[in-house]
Amino acid sequence: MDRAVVLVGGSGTGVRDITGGMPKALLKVVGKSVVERVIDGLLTCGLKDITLVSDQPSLFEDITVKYGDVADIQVIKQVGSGVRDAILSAKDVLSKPTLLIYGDTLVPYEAYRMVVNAYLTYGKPVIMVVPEEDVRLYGAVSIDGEGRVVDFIEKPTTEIDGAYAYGGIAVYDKELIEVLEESSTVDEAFKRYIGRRVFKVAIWSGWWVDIGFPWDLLKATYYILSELRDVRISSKASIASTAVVKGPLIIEDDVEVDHYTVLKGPLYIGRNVTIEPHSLVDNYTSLEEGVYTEAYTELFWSSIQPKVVIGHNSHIYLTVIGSEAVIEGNVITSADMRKNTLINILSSRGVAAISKTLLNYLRRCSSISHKAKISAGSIIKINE
Amino acid sequence: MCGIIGIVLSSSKALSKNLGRVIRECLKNLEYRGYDSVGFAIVSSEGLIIRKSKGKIDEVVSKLSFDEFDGIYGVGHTRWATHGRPSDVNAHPQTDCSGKVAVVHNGIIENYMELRDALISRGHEFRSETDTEVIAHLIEEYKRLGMSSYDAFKKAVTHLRGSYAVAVIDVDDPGKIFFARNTSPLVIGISREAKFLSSDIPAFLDYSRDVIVLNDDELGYISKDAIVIEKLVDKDLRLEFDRVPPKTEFIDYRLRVRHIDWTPEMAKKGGYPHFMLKEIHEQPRAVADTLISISKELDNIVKLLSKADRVLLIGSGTSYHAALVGSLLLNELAYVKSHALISSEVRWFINSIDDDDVVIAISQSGETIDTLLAVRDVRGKGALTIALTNVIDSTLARESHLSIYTRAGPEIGVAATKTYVAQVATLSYLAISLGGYMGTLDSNKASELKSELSLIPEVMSTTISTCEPRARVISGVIGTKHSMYYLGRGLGLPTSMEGALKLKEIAYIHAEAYPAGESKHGPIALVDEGFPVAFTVLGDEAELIVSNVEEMKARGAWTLAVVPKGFEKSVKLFDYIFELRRISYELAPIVYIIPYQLLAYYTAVTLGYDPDKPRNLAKTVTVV
Repeated sequence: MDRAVVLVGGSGTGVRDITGGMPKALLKVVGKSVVERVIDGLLTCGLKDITLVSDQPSLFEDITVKYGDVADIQVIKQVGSGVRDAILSAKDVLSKPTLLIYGDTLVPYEAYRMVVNAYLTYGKPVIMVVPEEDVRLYGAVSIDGEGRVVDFIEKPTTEIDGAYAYGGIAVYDKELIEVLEESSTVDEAFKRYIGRRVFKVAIWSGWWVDIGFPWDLLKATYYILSELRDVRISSKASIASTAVVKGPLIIEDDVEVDHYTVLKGPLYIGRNVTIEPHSLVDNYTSLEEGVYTEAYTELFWSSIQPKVVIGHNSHIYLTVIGSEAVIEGNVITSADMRKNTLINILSSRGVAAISKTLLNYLRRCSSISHKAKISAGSIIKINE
Repeated sequence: MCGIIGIVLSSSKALSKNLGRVIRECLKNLEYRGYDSVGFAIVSSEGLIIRKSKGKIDEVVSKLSFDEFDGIYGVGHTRWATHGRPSDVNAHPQTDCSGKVAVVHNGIIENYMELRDALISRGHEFRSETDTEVIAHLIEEYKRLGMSSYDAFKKAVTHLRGSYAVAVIDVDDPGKIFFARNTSPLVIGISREAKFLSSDIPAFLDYSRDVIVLNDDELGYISKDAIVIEKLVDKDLRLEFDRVPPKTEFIDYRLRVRHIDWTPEMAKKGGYPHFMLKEIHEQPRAVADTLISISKELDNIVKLLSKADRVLLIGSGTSYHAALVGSLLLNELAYVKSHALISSEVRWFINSIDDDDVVIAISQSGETIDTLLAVRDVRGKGALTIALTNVIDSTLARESHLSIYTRAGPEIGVAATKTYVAQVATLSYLAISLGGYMGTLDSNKASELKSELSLIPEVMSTTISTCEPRARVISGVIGTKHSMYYLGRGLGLPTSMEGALKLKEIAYIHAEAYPAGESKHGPIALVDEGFPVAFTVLGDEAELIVSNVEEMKARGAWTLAVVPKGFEKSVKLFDYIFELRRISYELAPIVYIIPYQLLAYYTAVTLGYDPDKPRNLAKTVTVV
């Protein structure tokens, strides 16, 4: 099996402010877009024949060019809207054994390998599930003692005891595609199929992020940066002699780090980023390409999308900033959250251990829209 | 401990892939037995090719380029260092001076220093620090003295003291792989396309279902056309370098062939990231299969136990925890004098053991050396021995008077899960049956418990899916801690001990279990703000534990509990709870261990460890 279909159409209501209407799959996480991370994972598993399904195929042309030498990528225009229609747009491919991935799902590549392995072992359709306490955001899958799907609810309205979250990765078969054509939604199709044939699950126990809200970008940033082990600084970056750099971190080409700035990894600094003097860039922060921060700014556990400008003396904690936003001076984000609390969350090995109440609180964290202008001296609380 | 493999194809390309690739696949299945170095030897048209390296198979697969090598026969090895640190030169196969003899070995040659000195004085040059290398040079020496390759091999084996399963290629006697076994496991697999030698059956299950389990002191060879098995009649350890071939008896292998009906998928991960998680999910099936098969087999054993003066249950590690559950149930339900002992400690009780005692020896693999030695000791004192094991025809089963088999299927994860619940279910069934038979347990109560037991697999299944998300969340907290207590009373104590062992062995977090009532007599001194304490509450003993929880909370402990639904004090007492279906206290150990297994598993995953391959541990411990 060497084929994969990635659904990259979703713009995502939860992150619409950040994307400004662009597909979520093009959001940047630690230097790469979500879809590039998915493709890299697929290539690692030897899945080189990749089909992207999008309602705006032209937006993915750069990616097909970038991967032209190492993968066979085609982009199909999605006919209709919603997940069912997106899947059926690629039905010719999916009728043969193919890994199907929702393009807003980030997981280590081992998860792809596990699902493929499960399909090859059982010879039956497989969906990946993840043990999550609250399945309302993801879709609820109930399983039996033999690892078979016994029920599926795409949008559960209550918590379901003993259900797993749908992990956004699957292998269909011809019959399941046919059933989907007769059905109006994915869960209707799954329910019908379960009545007729065996449908297996693969249980994923590692990290998994479904990008639905700004908070999920911070989660993904956390997990990906956690895997960083070394210090990689481009020879084309210029770092002032008085700057303090503590890894693990990545600094790309043409970065400029000015005097008396402290960089404390794990963190990522993308191409053409400028950091003015006396700034602090702290743990789990990712500054994407072309970000500009003025003097005396402080950043902690944040995802700063490309071409953002942050004014002097601003304190940006636990925040996602959409691309091309302009933050003036003296702005404070997540102002009602003490940095100590955030450090505690981090040191509790993250994100898995956050209680449900706190999680609901954090879910939106502080987020600043694509191309927003935040005026000087603003104080932004969590969830604003 | 190590894993060995030997393969002879019936013709070139009989398996339609390169022999090197088949060896790699088989070794991958053996990796649970050891994984610090790997190597193989293949005889091809270009002669004997040997490739070996320190590291796990996946790490060195491109360096050794297994898949590129083809031939008709070859051997392979995955190592777990005992003599000589893990290194390229100490990896197997080991060879003689001439480079014609290649040996792979699992076990320990106790007299290797003596053999090595004798061989060095006869001009042999040793390259590695392994005990294994003496085997290659011994064979070479006897060939120099004029013996045939096979006779030289047999003669060499007679000098070995200790444990071994060996497979040997000698290019001077082409087409054959010699083998010998003592103490360390060795099996032969037979199919039309190939013959296999291996440390265990799952290694070649993809290719062969017909197997022969070899016994101690058996040796022989496999080739394209033949399987020869001989038994050494008398072992002569004296090193006189004479040319008299050792005395042996021939064995008709056809009488020993067994068909294995495991499916190969059972030995693979399927839809799980790790064997351990897969095996946790297989627990309901393991218990169901075990209960079905033992219900027909135990009548005789129940009668024997009813006549015993005392029943001792022995085991190591997880099996000891099953022994504790068994002894508590035998005392409670059948009023039998019963105690659990750790296998390696049995010798200190040996004076009081006599022929009125029955000893139930528990070992998943049936190869645990501590348990085997204990069984030999108590047999010597006249006790009746019963093996409780998951591996049919294992050494423990053969050396005990009687055997009870759990039917959990092969367990690959090093941390025992499904075999533990299968052991506990078996012992529960046994205690209930014995209680009913002896009249200490009301016959209605006995049949109630038995019918409840038959529904346990279903309860386990829902318990796994309700506990798994919560375990994943809590693992993030546990992962930050350096030490943890598990407290319980009665049957909750062995459950706590097993929970603590799981956390220790795969998440590398220090964990200790105590009887809850004992915790205030010392252990509580360590408890301060945020110290994690898990409480196991099975049902009947709930009220007794409340004061222990309050003592811990008063010192700032972070409390976690496994409790039955409807224990209304839970919310007030504990920071986190796993609420499980309420079942009879006597049967609760089978189900209430599940959250602890999941917690240990997810903590290991959160911390970035591989739960299937804990450091410093191996599956069958064959080293005293």
